[in-house]
Amino acid sequence: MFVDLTDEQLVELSVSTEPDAFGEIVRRWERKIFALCFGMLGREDEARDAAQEAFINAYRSLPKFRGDAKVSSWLHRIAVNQCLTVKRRQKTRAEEYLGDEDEAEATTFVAAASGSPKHIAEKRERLRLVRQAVRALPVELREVIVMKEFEEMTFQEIADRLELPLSTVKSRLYTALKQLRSRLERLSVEVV
Amino acid sequence: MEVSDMAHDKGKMRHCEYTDSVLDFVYDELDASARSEFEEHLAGCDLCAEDVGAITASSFAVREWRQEEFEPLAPPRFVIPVAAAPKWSIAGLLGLFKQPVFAMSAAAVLLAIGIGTYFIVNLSTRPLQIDKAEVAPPASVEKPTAPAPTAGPLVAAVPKDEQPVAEAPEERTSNAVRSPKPLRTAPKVSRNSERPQISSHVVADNVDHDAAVPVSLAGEVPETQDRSLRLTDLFADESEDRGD
Ligand SMILES: [Zn+2]
Repeated sequence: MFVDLTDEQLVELSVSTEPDAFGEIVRRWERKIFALCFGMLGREDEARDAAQEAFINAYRSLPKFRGDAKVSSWLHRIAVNQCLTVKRRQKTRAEEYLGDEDEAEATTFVAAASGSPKHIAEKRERLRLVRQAVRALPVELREVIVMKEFEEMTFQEIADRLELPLSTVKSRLYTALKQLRSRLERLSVEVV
Repeated sequence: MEVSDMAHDKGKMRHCEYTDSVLDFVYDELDASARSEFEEHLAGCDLCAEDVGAITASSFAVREWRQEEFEPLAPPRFVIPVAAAPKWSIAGLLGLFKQPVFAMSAAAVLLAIGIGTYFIVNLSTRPLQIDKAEVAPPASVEKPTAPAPTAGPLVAAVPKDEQPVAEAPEERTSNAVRSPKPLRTAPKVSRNSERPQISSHVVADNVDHDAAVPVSLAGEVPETQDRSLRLTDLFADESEDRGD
């Protein structure tokens, strides 16, 4: 029923006569928003909660949606803000419980066990370091890495979504990946 | 421009003129001619070779994380609970009335309210001539009209068969029937008080909200008690007239 409509048309419909049209928006975006939240937060349970909350927030603020805005950018901003809220809560909890955030994070490992125990342990450690290094990046850098690697967007698509010049997006991604490399090297040395 | 961007711009001064192509090369977003030109340059430029190595390694690390931990996850399925209904703006509501269907519906509702009010006023001003049989057994009295479920589930981001089940209507009816003071005319209860309040909280507490609805519906209406008192007085008068 709503398949042929653009995101913007669906939002317009949701606000006026067809609240169910928002269901199509959710179906179209749920995987991408979940990927974004997963990359930003690094944990499945938190990513699912954040994405769910993001859609609820989006639905609630439908009447405030600017007609000239892009739904993709609007949803993205809401989701990133939701991730930041989760991180703030997480930080408070970690402070309260004296930094057991890393312990909790370690339980998110879901990769299928294959190869020798040594190989599995190495991979597990490698993934933990990547999560930690990505999480330590500033939000605007983490965001572009996640969009590129998790959502598999082109530079131009990222620029459109973030409403930024293409050169700024490339510059951020370049900086993000270089910083990530330095952090990973440092963390690896610390571990070894 | 942000600090990180500026830092990078300063860094670019120390870098080679092809640095801007490094990302496009790693992510395969160069066209064929630009790619072969960069590859030719790469063969003789240590700075670009180092950049390509660092960026490829980072990209590979994040990709491995995605493949190992994200891709095996079950696809998400998000549901927007009823309690998350949007706060409609006044402008939005006014916009609705620009549409003929809504304008006509509103006119019909207003007309119905007007007619209803006319009858209520007429009944309450008419002298009461009630048989005992009509009043005594509660079972014979017509059921008060349950209000229309105007604030039912507004939307769910799932197919209709997966929407949360609203249990409120049954409760409303049963509570209304159980009301110990049956009404002869429709109670003058504020329409607003009959509507479930939509929560401003994000949590999916639609069940609680619906459960809270019948309380106001089943609540006592002061006018009912007044009317009963008057009827009692009336019967007392009739008994005296008949010399009982
Ligand atoms: Zn070079």
